[in-house]
Amino acid sequence: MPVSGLVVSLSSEKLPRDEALQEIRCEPRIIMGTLKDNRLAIVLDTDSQAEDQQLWNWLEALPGVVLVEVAFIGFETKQDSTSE
Amino acid sequence: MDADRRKFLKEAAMAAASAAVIGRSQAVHSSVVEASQVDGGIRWNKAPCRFCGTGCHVQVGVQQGEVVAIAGDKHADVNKGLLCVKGYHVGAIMYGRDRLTKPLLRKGAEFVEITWEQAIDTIARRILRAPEKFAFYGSGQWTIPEGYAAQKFMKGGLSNNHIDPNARLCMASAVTGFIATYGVDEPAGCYEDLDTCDVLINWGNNPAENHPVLFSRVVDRPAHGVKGRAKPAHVIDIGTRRTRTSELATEFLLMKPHGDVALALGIMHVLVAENNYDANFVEKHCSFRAPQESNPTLLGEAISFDEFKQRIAKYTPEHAAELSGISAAKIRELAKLFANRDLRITSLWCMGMN
Repeated sequence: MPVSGLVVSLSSEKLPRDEALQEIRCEPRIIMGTLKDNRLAIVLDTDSQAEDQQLWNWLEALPGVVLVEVAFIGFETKQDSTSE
Repeated sequence: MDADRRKFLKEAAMAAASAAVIGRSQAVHSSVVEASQVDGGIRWNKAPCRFCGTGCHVQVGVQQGEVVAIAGDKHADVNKGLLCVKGYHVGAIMYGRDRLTKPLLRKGAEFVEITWEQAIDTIARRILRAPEKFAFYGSGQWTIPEGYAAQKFMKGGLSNNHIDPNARLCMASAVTGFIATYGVDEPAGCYEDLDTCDVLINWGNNPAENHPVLFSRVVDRPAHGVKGRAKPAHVIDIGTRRTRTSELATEFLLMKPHGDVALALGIMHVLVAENNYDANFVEKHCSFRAPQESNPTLLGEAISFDEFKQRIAKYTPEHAAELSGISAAKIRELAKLFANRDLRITSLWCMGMN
């Protein structure tokens, strides 16, 4: 169940930026944080690395998203956890 | 993962991401700030990301002997607290299910696990049986001591020249280009050029996917705290195919394969024809070479500037357009950019910062 802290760089054009923000806001696995100068801090909370990667790909594909970068990753999948 | 630990990680993740957004290092959660610090049971230490040549600094969180978290090192000038998708995997790949952790010997159609002693004995016997038939394929990612040891082993130990790394397909071509052009194996630029250039021209390079952290310094300058020339660069992407870089560039120019040389010659032709170049610099610092008439070599032979001008005379924008697939008008535009001495232009060719 990895926890990913990402920085999303958004388009400087208002319409695609606002649409991307709305899409991200509606995604329940994403926690939105600080937004400044078209850069948004988010946390992905997923059940597996595969799901994390899929969400990353979805973010990159949003028309209003310019870049997705990693600030922090805490990874421990259900399969790898010895405590479960 | 227990709830408390998960909560801790989410807080740390948000703090790290927020710090990168705000650009203030003091906001970063203490558990990802300093190496060798222990917080929440996680000990943080520092490592390089080995996935590409950018050289991002990574903070690695270890718990009970296993890597459980990674973060970009906020103190690093290269990546300033951020990593790309390759950095995402740099810790997790050590625990990939298909990672090779024990020696395996092929027996028939199967791979059978053997001990390290058996593996070393088997390899040594086979090499000594026919040392001239042994080859070593190394890597541009091996360390300098590893490369040195491999060379010594092959050439000094086995008197065998069959050693080559993957750099033959990558850096070796750049090395040749640098030595031929600048007389030294060094790219004529540095990462700060990406922060301050007015124009970035990609010649078949795809930095958005190959070196995202470096590319973000071009497309996201205010966020990287660039002072002075914080306005975005004009990014011209020249390539034989569209890439993610093309999507993020200001303009994309579709080029025929091998068209880059014709394009460069066309630009030079315009600069010379319009007498729009720094003649003083050329006279003091440039020497010109051309392939020999017969048996041409890589370094060619020395020619004069006048002879160089004669040789590029045929590369008019129209002729270069035919060879490169890029319009004559666009070639003239590019020449105008290079002629403007107030503009800072950085070019990225092949792959990486070259």
